[in-house]
This record gives sequence, structure tokens and C-alpha cells, in this order.
Amino acid sequence: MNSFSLAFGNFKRNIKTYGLYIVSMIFSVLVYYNFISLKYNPDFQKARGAVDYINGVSNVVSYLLLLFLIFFIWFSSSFFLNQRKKEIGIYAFMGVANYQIGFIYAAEVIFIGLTAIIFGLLLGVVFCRLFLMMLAKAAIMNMKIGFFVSYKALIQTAVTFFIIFFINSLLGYINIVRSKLIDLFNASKREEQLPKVNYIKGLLSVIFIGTGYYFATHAIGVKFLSYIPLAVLFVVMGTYWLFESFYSLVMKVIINNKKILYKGVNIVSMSNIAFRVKNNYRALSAVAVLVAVTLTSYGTVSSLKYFVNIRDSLQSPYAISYVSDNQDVKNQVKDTVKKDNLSITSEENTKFCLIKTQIDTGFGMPLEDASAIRYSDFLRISRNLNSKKLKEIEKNKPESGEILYIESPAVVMSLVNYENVKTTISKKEFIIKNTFKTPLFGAGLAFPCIVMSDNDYNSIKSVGKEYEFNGININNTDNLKSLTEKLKKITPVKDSLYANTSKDISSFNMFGIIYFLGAFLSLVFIIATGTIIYFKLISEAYLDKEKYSILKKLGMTKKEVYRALSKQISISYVLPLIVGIIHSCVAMSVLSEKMHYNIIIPSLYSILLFALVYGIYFIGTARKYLKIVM
Amino acid sequence: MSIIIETKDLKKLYGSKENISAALNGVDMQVEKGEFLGIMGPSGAGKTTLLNIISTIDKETSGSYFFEGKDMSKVKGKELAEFRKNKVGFIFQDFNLLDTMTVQDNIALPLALGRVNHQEILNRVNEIAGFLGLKDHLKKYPYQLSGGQKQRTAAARALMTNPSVIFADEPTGALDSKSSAELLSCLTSMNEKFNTTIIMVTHDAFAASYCRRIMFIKDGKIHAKIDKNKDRKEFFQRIMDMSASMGGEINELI
Repeated sequence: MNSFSLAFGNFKRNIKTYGLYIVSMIFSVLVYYNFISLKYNPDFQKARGAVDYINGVSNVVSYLLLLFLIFFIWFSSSFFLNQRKKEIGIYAFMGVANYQIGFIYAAEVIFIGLTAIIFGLLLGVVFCRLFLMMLAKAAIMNMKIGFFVSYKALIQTAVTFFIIFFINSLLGYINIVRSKLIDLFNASKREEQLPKVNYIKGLLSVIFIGTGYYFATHAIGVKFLSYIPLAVLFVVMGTYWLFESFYSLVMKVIINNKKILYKGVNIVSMSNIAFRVKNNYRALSAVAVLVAVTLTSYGTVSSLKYFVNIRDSLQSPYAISYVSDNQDVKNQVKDTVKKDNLSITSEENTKFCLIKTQIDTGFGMPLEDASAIRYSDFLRISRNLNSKKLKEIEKNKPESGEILYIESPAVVMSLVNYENVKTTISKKEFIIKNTFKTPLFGAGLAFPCIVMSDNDYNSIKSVGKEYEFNGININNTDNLKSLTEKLKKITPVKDSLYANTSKDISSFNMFGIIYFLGAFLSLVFIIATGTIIYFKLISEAYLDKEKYSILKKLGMTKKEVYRALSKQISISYVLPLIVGIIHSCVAMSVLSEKMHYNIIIPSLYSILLFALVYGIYFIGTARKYLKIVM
Repeated sequence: MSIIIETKDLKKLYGSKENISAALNGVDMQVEKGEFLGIMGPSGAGKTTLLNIISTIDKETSGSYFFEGKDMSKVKGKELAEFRKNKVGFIFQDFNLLDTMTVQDNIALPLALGRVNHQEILNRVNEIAGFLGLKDHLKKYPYQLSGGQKQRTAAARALMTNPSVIFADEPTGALDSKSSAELLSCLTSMNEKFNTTIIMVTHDAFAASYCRRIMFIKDGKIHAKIDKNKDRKEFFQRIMDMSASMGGEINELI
């Protein structure tokens, strides 16, 4: 029997034992193939071509995905190697040279890799259809993406993963060649020790996270670019120390408080957890940060999707809008509408000025076109359109020299805080009292709007030119397209005519794709972080086997064992989840401020989704754990 | 004195139809309350099997087993776990302490699982640790202890619930002679002070000489019983003679 056939035999026997390792490899290949094949899909490319930076985004996402998958494969492989160390030690004990064992292991990893590539690609091709259906459903796209097998993607995925697996097997080979027999024997029996508690780090961790939060919430305007990296740095450092020191501090308190400890199974689970802090804090803090990143990015993209729906009301408060102050033209429009057997349900006629403003935000903003209206008109329109911000609008009446700033309906989010910022309008200085996101003119007049006190408006009006905005809502918009064609024949209206004929397709596609990429990446992150914790816990289960068999002999019932180990397991899922959720809540609240919209609903939704997936992982882990220790 | 353990024609068979071997082949025994009983015999004689059955870790194939008059073949599941928790204590050859707990927590374990008030637990831990000379080691972890200290910790844990019987399976197997002697005198004083029944399996004549009565098992049957009359030295000599007459493991190799 040579080393090669030994490796192959091992591989065949181990398929069952190390099922999850192989499954996670297959999963990585499947995910990557689906993503790459999407890139090569001609339909997707057509949609993507429309917006240039989607191209960039999907490239960045694919690199991120690959980077993460490399980390994931590396992590799973080291777990796999540690599980095998004792077996490897026995070979070494029997006098097989380290390099031969290394070769056996490396060959095994390559076999597993090849299996993963083959099955991953096969499943990838099969699931591609489902994946595309999900894509079409998840993204609010009205484009159709056909089923398509991309040879380019197949080859690219196979080659990429072969390289990853090859490097991995090489690393494993080096690891084994360098290891000593004694380490191999004791690898699965590493002595566990209670960590030393570092009070300063424990305290610092909380301070660091607080500082990070401070930077995040104060990242406004010019400071945004310098504060956000600082916030990330502080929060990541703080999280790391939180798990290293603060966590062990808390566990030490629990261990020494016999009132808590001597309460049923606590004595078992808490002692186990406390002893694992030292081995686990790195993985837990990494998972907490990943959870925060994933939640935030998923929260962001789902908010964007949610926001697209809301934006509709900002974009098109009226079915038809045009600019004209000529009474004859207005009548002509009304007649045309009536000729189509349609009746006007509501109508808005408002005077406005076109002006140029320079807002002093510190970004060095250029001169900007804007419309200006009276506060009294603004208030009336907001009432008629049932603006959700009506109460705030009523409270914020601009005095002379003050203005309200209404962002252009096309803006989704801005990094600029306009409040109390100086603005120059035809050489006069104004202070922005407040800024709102509320329906006003819609996309028919896609400028930001300046709301002024009536007196200020009158003085501006004398300098600039005044126009009249007309918005009409009709009882039936089914044939709006043909009506629009007819209206276009009225020459003075033609240029400014805007009809809400359909949803804005191009932007919907853009948001759809961004949403999909974000959601997809988040899904991969959730599954992979869950699997990382799973691997960690299952390797602990083998260490705990002996402990639980002692406990059983001492009269612990199966139910008590289950209770003890679920407490022990849940902490590994719950702690990073809680820390991640808190981080992401801060991040999302900052984001919500930037978008001038409350994103509680999509954020809550993504948090619940995450908790649900981890809950499923928890149940699976607890079951497997019980099976191992009982 | 009342009888605490009674077995009738206890049998334990291993293997399938064609190839059955009997680890126990009809054991009738009675243990009285407050006894310090030793079980001896060559390897493979069935002494550990017997201990496992009377300590409820294993089940008999046939025959009956009564603990304090209760038929143990009918006790199952949760009730069995409760029985192990409250009625009996265990001392194993390899200590079976939990590495993740201090000596104090290890000793407290059975009562903590039994949801006793924590102050009561702490008092009892102190009492027993004092008795077994573990007071200075309560805050240490098992890996910081010597073999003898570990086994005394295990003995303390076994005593916590104030059990009717303590089962000890080769408790001196992993100890040097000095630690063995220490542990055995601890067991003796436990037996005398708390009137705890102790059943100890051993193949070591020196350890056995601390018992008050020895039961010899051979080929799954009780081969002989001897009682301590006078002092330990004389008892030790008789145990050695008996072992020699039974023909230990050495014969099997010829």
C-alpha cells in the first residue's frame, strides 16, 4: 500500500465523518460559481451595462466574496487538521516519516477539494436557475434573466478553487512536517486554562467602543471621511478586547459567585464557558464584527429597497405635472384630460422661482440650481399631499433670513448635514433652519427646493424670474401614456411635461442589483459565520465528551445534560450576535440620519432574519453536540 | 443490622447466540449497612462487572438486585439518575474530576445539581474538605493537585450527598503507596465516622487489608469470603494466601 492509495482510502472513509467539512467546501464552490456565472450572464450584463458603477460594485463584491471564502476554507481546514492530528500522531508513532504523513494529508485535502469542485459545480449549475429566480424576485427588477451555463465561469471557478485547495494542502503539509510527535498526540487534548483577567483592557474595551460610537455618530460633512475609519478601528479594537478581557471578567465574577454557580446545571456550563474564553475570544470577536458588518450592509441594502418604494411618493406626487402660468395653456391641458373621459381629482398650482444657491457645507459645493417657494405655499402643498412630516413642517416656520431645504427627489442619501449652514442666494446670506424629505414637486421639477419666508420670497422674486408649477392627479392612470402623447402636442407644455407613466426602470434596476448583491453577500456571511461557530463548538464537544460521561455517572439526567450544553452553546451564538446587533444599530442609526428616513422596519427585519438563521444553527449544533457527548 | 444490598443469582452475559461468555455466572451476595467490603479476584473474574451492576451503571442479564429492599431492575430513566445522585457515591481509578472546576466546585457538584441552597452547599464542602484534609486546596484546579489529593477530592465529592453506599473502583490504582495509605485511612474513617457503607473493588492486597470483609470472585462466581479478625497485618497475610491459592493471572500465561 503506497501513500497515495492510503490517502485515497482515508478520504473514502472520512467522507462520512467529516461530512460538514466537505459540505462547506461544496457550498463555497457553489456560491462562487453562481456569482461568477451571474457576471457572465448576457442578460445580467445588459442590465448592468446601463449603470457603470454597478460594474465596479459587483467586482468589489466578487473580490470580497473570494477573500471571505479563502478565510472560511482556511478556517475549516485548520479545524479539519486539528481533528485529524491524533490519527496522524499514530502514523508517526508507527514510524511513518512526517513528510510521508504530510503527503497523505495533502493528497487527502486535494481529493476533498476535487470532490468539492466537481459537486459544487454540478450543484451550482442545477441551482443556478433557482438562484436566478430568487434574484428576479428579491430584486425589484423587471428584467428577465435566462438560464445559462457559462463555461468561462465553470473554468474560472474550478481554477480558482483548485489553487485555493492546493495552497491549503501545502499549508497542511508544512504544518505536519514541522510538528513534533508529542504535539500531534496532544493536539486534541490541549490543556485548557482559566485566562488571566486584565482589568485595564476590560475597561478600555468599553471606552474604545464608546469612542468608536462617538466618531460614528459625529461623522458629518467633511469629518465623514476621517471619522468613519476611526470609528471602525475603535469599534473593532474594542470588540476584540471586550471578548478578551471584559468577557473573562464577567465569567470570573460568575464563577466566584457561588449563588449563581450552584444553581443546577450552571456549575457545569459556566465552568466550561469560563475555561474556553481563552481559546474562543478571537473567533467570537471576529464573528461579532462580521455580524455587525453583515447586518449593517444588509440593513443598508434592504433599506435602499424599502426606500425605493417610499421614493416613489417623493418622485411622483402627481400623475402629470408641467410648468406654465398661462391660463389658456392650463385650460388646454384640462380640456385634453377631459376629452379622454378622465376627471381631475386634485390640482396644484404654485408659483416658484428658479435661483442659484451656494451652500457652504465645507465640501466646496458649486453653485446649484434650485427652486424657491413661499413657506405658506409649501405648508399648503404638504397638507394637501398628506406629508408624513407635516407636524415638523408646521413647527419650523422660517423667519426672515432663514430657509428650509428640501432635497431633490432624486437624492437617496447625502453625507451632508445642512442644518444651520450658511447659504448664499443672489448675494444675500441665509441660514438653513431645517431640512426635509417630503413630497413637493416630484421628478417633474427635479431640483432641490428652498422654502423661504413670504417676505424673503418677494424680494428674491423681484431679482429672478417667477414660474408656475401645475400638478394634476386624475381618477384613472391606466392610459396615462396615450394621454401624455396628446399633451405633448401642446407646445408650451412639452418641455416641462412630466408624467408618472411607469416606475423609473433604470433606477429600479440599479437598486435591485445593489440589493441583490448585498443580500447575497449577507447570506453567504450568515451561513459562513454560523458554520465557523459550529465547527468551533463541535470540536469542543469532543473535548467535553469525557466530562459529560463523568457527569452522567454522577447521576446527571439526559435532560440536565441537554440544558447544560444548550447554555454552553447558546453563549457562542448569542454573544457575538448581541454585540454585532448593537454595533449595527449604531451604524444604521447614523445611516438613517444620512438618508433622512427612518429605517427601523428594514433594520428590524434584517436583525430578525439573522437571529432566525442563528437560532436554526443553534438547534443543529445542540443536537449534534448531544449526540457526541451522550 | 439491616441489609442494604442483596443480589440473587445475578448473571451478566456477553456476546451473541453461538459465542456467549458469562462475566457473572450467578452471584448471591448480601451487604449490610455500615460495611467496608472489598471485592477481589484475578482480572477477568467479573469484579468490575459486579460493581457496575450494583452501582446501576450497568444492567444485569438475569437474576435480581435489591437496594434497600427495592427491586432495581424496575428503576429506569430519571428515577435511576436521581438514585445515582442521592443514594450512592462513586470513586473511580482515574479520579474523574472535572478539569474546568476548582476543587471546591468539584466537591460541590452533586449538591449544586440537586439545587440545594448555595450557603448550605458551601458549609458542607467546608465540613467534608476539613475532614479529608483538603481545606488548603479548595481554590486549586485538579491539574495543580497530586494524585492522592485528586482522589481525596473525588472521595469528598462522593460523600457530599451523604449517600447510603460509596462504590470505589480500584481507587488506589493510580496512586503511589504513600498516597494509597492516606486515601485508605480516609476511607476507613469515613466508614467509621459517618457509618457509610463502602464497596471497593481492588486487586491490591494491601488496599484490601483495610476492608473489614473480602469477597473473592473467580469466573463470575463467588469463590470465597474472609473476615478481618484481629489486626490488619494478619488480615493482609490471609488475603495473600487466598490470592495465591486462587491462582492469579500468572497461571493464565503458562
